[in-house]
Amino acid sequence: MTHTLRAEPESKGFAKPSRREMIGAGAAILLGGGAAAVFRHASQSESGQRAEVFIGPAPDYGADLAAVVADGLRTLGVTRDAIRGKRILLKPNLVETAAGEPHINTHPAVILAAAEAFRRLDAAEVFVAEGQGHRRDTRAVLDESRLGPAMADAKLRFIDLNCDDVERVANRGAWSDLGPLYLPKSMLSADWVVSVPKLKTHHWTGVTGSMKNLFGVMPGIVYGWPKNVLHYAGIAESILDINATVRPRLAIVDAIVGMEGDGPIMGTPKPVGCIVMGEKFSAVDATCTRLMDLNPYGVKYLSLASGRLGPIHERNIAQRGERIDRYRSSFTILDVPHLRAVRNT
Amino acid sequence: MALLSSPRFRGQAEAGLSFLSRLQSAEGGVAAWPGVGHASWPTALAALAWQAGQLGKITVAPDSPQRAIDWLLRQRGRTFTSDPRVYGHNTQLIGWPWIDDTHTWLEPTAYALMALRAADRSDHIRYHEGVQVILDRAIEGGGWNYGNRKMLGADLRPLPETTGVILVAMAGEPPDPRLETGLRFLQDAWPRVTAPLGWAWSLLALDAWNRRPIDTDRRAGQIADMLLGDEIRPLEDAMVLIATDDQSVFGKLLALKTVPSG
Repeated sequence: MTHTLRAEPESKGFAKPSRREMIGAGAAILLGGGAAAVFRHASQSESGQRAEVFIGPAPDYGADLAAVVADGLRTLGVTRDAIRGKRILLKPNLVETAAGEPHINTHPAVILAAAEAFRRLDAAEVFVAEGQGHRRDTRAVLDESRLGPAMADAKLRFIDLNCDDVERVANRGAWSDLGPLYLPKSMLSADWVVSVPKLKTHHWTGVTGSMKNLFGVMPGIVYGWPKNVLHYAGIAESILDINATVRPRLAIVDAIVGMEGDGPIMGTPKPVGCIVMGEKFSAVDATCTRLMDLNPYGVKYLSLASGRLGPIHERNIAQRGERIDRYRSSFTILDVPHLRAVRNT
Repeated sequence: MALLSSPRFRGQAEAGLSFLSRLQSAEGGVAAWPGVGHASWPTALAALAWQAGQLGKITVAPDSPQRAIDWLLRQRGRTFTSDPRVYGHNTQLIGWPWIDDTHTWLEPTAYALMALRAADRSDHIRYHEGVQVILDRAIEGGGWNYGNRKMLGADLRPLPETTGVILVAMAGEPPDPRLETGLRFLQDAWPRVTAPLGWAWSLLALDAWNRRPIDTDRRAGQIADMLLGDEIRPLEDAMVLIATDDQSVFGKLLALKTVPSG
C-alpha cells in the first residue's frame, strides 16, 4: 500500500518566501500599508506554476452529481489506472448542525457522488473521514447532517479523525510554530486524501474551501474542540503547514448551494449551481473566491500559498468545463476590518 | 466508571484504572495519547475514574488521584485582551483548556469542576473561577456550546451534549437564571437528542436537577437497541450505562440526584 507521506522524498514541494518578499511584507506593515498591501505583494512569484480547475454544472442536489464528478476527473486527467486499487479518503466539511440549515456542511449528495465516481474507477475502498471542529458528539453531527444515513445506504465506512490513533510526522511546511504534526493513522493509510468542502465565506479567513477544510483532519484529542492550537499558531500559517504535510490529491467543492455572510456556520444559503474540482488546492480555492466575486489576493492563506503550494493568479489557472463568469455571484461578507482586503471593491 | 457498578467487571475496571496510571506523567497529567503530554485534557476524567475506583475499594496507585488534582490546579487556560464586539465572553477569566497554552473551553472546565468536587476541593479559588467561566459563557437564549456564546455580534448556537456536561458539573451550585435557562434548553431539546452520547449527558443533567423526563425508560430502550445494532463504541456504551444506572458510581461520586427541586 502506498503511504503518501512516508513514500515521498523529504524535499519540500513548495518554495519558501524569498528574503525580498519577507522584507517587503514586513515593510508594508511598518509603513502602514495594511493587510491588503502585504498580501498583494506576497503573492508575486508563480513562475512556471500552472494548474487546471474544472467547473461542472450542478443546478441542484438532485442532479446526476456522480456524472459531473466523473466528468471532472476525466477532464483533469485522473485515469482508471491512477485510481484502481487505491484507498480513497473523502474529507467532507462537517462543523455543526442546525435544523433547516443544511448549507453549513458539505451536502451528503456530493459525498455520495464522489464515492460513486471513484468506485467506478475501481478504487479498492472509498471511505469518509472527518474530525469536526465544534462538536464532540460525532454521531449527532452525522445523523443531523443526514450524512450518516446516506453513508449507511451507500455502504461507506466513516472514521472519526478526532479520536483516531495518531502518528507524529515532520511538518513539511514550517510556516507556523506548530512543530511536528500529529496526524490520524487512518488518514496516513489512505492513498488519496480528497477534500470535499462547501463553498463558504469565513468570518476570520474571508473564504473557506479545500485548503481550510483540512483543519478537519487534525485530531481533536491533540488539537482540541475547537482546534485552538491552530488558531494560536496562526490560521493561515497552519493551513499551509497542514496542506504541505498532508499533500491531498484532489478537491471537489460543493458549490451547489454555498454560504454567504457570517460563515462558516452562521451565514445564509447562496445558490451557485456548480461543482469545482482540481488537484492544486490554491488554484481551486482562488477560483472559488472568484466565483464568490471576492479577491483571492486578500485571502491571507491563498496569498501565502501563491507560488509555494500552487498558483492563484488567473493567468496561471487553466479553466476547464464551465466558465467562472457563468456562475460568478456576489457573496456578502462581514463588514469587519480584517476582511476588507477580501472585498473586490 | 461504568464497569465499577458491577462486581462482575471488577477485573476489567481494575485493568482500566491501571492503564490510566501508566499514562500519568511525573507532573500528574494524563495524556490523550502516549508522548503527547501537551494534550493532557483527560486528566480530570482520569481523576474521576480513580476516585470512583476508591469508592469501589479499588486502589491501583494511591497517589495518582492527588497528583492529578495538583496538576489540574496548575493547569490554566490562556487569557487575552479582546474587543467585546469580537468575543462575547470574558476572555480574562481562567478555566481549563483542552490543550496546554490555549484558551479556556467549557467541556474541560466542566470536567475539572467535577474532579475537584469529587476530591472535596470545591472550596478552591480555581473551582470558583471555573464556575464563573461557565456562567459567563451561557448563551443568552439558554444552554452552552464549546465555549463561544457570541462572536462578531452573532449569538451562537447551544449544543445539547455540552449543555448536559455543564449542568452535571454545575449540579449543586446556587440558583442562577443562566442555569435555569440552560435546563429549559435541555428539556426542550430532549426529544430531538437521539445520539447516545448527548442523550446520556442530557439524562444525567436532567436527573441531577430532578427533571428526569417521563419517557426516559422508553427512550433508554431505543438507545440500547441502537447501540446493540451498531459497531461497538465504548464511550457511547459507557455513558449510556452510567446515565441509566440509578446506582452508578459516577452519580455517587458527584452526589448527583441530591439537588432540591427548583
